[in-house]
Amino acid sequence: MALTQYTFKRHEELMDDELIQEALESLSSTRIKLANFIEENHPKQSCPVCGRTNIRYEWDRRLCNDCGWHEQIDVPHKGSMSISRKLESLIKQAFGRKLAQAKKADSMKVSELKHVPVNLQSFETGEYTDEQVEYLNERFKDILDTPHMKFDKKDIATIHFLVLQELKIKELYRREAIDNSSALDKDFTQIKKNELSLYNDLKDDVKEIIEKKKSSDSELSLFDKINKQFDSQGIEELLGNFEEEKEKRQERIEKSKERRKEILTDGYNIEDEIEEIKGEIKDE
Amino acid sequence: MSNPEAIENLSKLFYISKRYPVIGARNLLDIDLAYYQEDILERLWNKKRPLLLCSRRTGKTFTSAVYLTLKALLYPKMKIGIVAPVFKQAQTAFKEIESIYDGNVFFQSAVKDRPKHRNTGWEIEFKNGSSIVALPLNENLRSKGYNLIFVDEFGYRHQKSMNDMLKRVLIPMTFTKREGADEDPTDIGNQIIIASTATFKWNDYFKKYQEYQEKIEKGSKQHDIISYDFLDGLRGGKFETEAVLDEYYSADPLTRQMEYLNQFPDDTGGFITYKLLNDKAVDHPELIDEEKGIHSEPETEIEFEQEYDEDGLPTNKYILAFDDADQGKDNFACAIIKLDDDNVKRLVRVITKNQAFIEEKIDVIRDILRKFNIVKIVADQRNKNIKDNLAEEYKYNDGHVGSIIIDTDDKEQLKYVKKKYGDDADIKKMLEIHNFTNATNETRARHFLSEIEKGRFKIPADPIEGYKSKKEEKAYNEIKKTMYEITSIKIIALDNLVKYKPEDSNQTSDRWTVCELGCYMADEYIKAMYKKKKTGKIKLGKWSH
Repeated sequence: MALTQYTFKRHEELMDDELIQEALESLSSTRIKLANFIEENHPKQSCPVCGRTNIRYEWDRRLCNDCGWHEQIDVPHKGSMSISRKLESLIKQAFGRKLAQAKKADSMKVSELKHVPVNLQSFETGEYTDEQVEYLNERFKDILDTPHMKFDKKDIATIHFLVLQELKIKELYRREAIDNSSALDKDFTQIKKNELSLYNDLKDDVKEIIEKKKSSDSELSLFDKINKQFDSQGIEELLGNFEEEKEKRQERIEKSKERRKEILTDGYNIEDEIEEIKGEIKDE
Repeated sequence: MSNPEAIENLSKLFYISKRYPVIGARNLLDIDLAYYQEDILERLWNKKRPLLLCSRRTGKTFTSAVYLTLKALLYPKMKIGIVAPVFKQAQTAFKEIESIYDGNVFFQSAVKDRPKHRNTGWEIEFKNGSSIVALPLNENLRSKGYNLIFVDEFGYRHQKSMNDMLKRVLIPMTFTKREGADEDPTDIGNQIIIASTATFKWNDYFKKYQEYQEKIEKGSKQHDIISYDFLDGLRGGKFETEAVLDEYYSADPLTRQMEYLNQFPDDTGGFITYKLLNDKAVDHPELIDEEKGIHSEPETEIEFEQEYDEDGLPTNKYILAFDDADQGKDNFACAIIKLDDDNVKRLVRVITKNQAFIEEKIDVIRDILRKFNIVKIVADQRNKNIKDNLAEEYKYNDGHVGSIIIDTDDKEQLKYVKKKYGDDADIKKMLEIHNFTNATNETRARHFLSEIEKGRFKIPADPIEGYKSKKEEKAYNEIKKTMYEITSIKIIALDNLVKYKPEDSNQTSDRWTVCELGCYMADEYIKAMYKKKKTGKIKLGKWSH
């Protein structure tokens, strides 16, 4: 997650001397690792200028302690990973860690959650304002009143979370509307995306529940189809046609059997067969 | 179901479908099968012990899915189990059933609930008491009772012998009769279906195939071998001809024989046999949870780019071996070999180019150099053209300039490069030329065989869950062709000389060359590094912090 100015401003107090010190230590440890990598992967036994063996390895080069000869070494690195070599990036990383710790400390404890009442049919549990409860109840009722639809008990949970998710998204958009800067905030955009994706999943679930109920109508159309089948031809006719088809099929099967026998002998030319198939498909 | 006429007609259809399953597939499931798939369906319907020997692109798993669905729908309390050497393969067969479920209202109305995916098995329960379950194959299954077992991908590698699993675990699962079976004249009783594409003759599947053949010859009415190949698939008109042919032509000859034409080849009888390669070199994932059928992540996989640690540094060293095409039919080939702990060398990519210009070959090598931490490039003395071109500055598309790469032992080349680009030029002595002579060829070939036997040369196995992209499929096809080339190498005695080459003069061997050369030179590099460490050079410490 990228650190944006918006996030930084909200948690400015976390930036202190200790954090800078942590970043500096991290930088020096990265440089030691890079130097070790160069020593391991690009060892040099002696200096090409003075011939002495007093070679030193730094984070971006190898050099001779005696005559000053040095050679830049480009340590291969992956695009986004290379940031950890810059002090600025390391400060950002340290800041991110502190931010995560602070957020963790603020969250509700598991034991406290046990005392919050749970009711899937109602939203008056003390977590929402009167206006929010009114909105949630209305939306919940709207969906339950879908024409020709009777929801099962197990479907209620999906609808409950769907309306809660709607409320959450509404709040996110409201926050964006009153605070212009957040519109450009990458974190905020990501949060919105995630919440919308969750909302769409729930919406799909409800849609699927409704579709499944409708399938009883399709079931009836299947019966219609079966009835028509028997109306248009009797069993004897159906079987007669099938036997005729089977005879034709048998000819092709016999041909295929013969071919597979021939393939086992070296003389069989598969390329001819492929050309023949290509021709047949074109003709069709 | 409130339509009495429909109920009567439906029961008629059930009656007919039990006797003519193709009619059931058409009218109940709304599925039109190809001519040979209809034959498969009918023969599965009537034999207690069918063996499906069907190539790729015949719709073997799909037709079996239609069969299993019809069985569950038409026969109450029919317990169907789907197993395979790897749970993912059983899941693939189950997914075919799910796709029929998704598109068919009658099927949807006949089940208790949507299909369930649990760690211990995937299941569909029917209102008539039938069920279809895909299960991980393990010893504990023996205690469960099924009326029909579909064993897919029988020829695939399993921790234990598949024939042994069949005898000790799967057959005992079918001992109990289905309730009501005796009253139904169309019920053939409990059934086991074995399905796979063809394999080598040393595989359990071939042994089972022979056993079935013998039984059929002796007049067994229960056994049947149902065989169709990809040409039937094409004639059936259910597959894209061009795409299938493209796939067929890009496969190596052994894959074509086994997986497209239903032939069981003998092992290649080469210097390195296919069995040895499969047992010791191919890095098959290990079964880590037998109950849930979970496999470990394979240690050797195709790599398009190296891995990095949390500091952004490459986690491994790699050796790049290349071989230029010296004859028309030969390829330009590159092998990228990862050096791992305990001297294990993992083949992570093979790239070939046929009749390519020198610029294209240099592009391939330069691209590899940028994506992998290559510590040594190796080739033989015949690759002068590439050697000369690597000793030039190289500009990548993004403007980055690649180092000048020269032969570690060629002082003349160093002198020339310094004169051309100056003393400060970025020159890397990375290319090591290994002389190919009859003696060194023999040393390397024997070394390669020995490293394979010791399990120190590893080749990626085909991914269990299938390829993630066309690019990945192409890369794995190269590995298969490499395996084919390795196994096609024979020892040929000529007067006093021993040559390591394929019997067929039209057969390429460049993939074999880069593998055996890369393996040998990787060990030479490891030895050299070990010696360097042992010299006990006094270190002054690092002043970088």
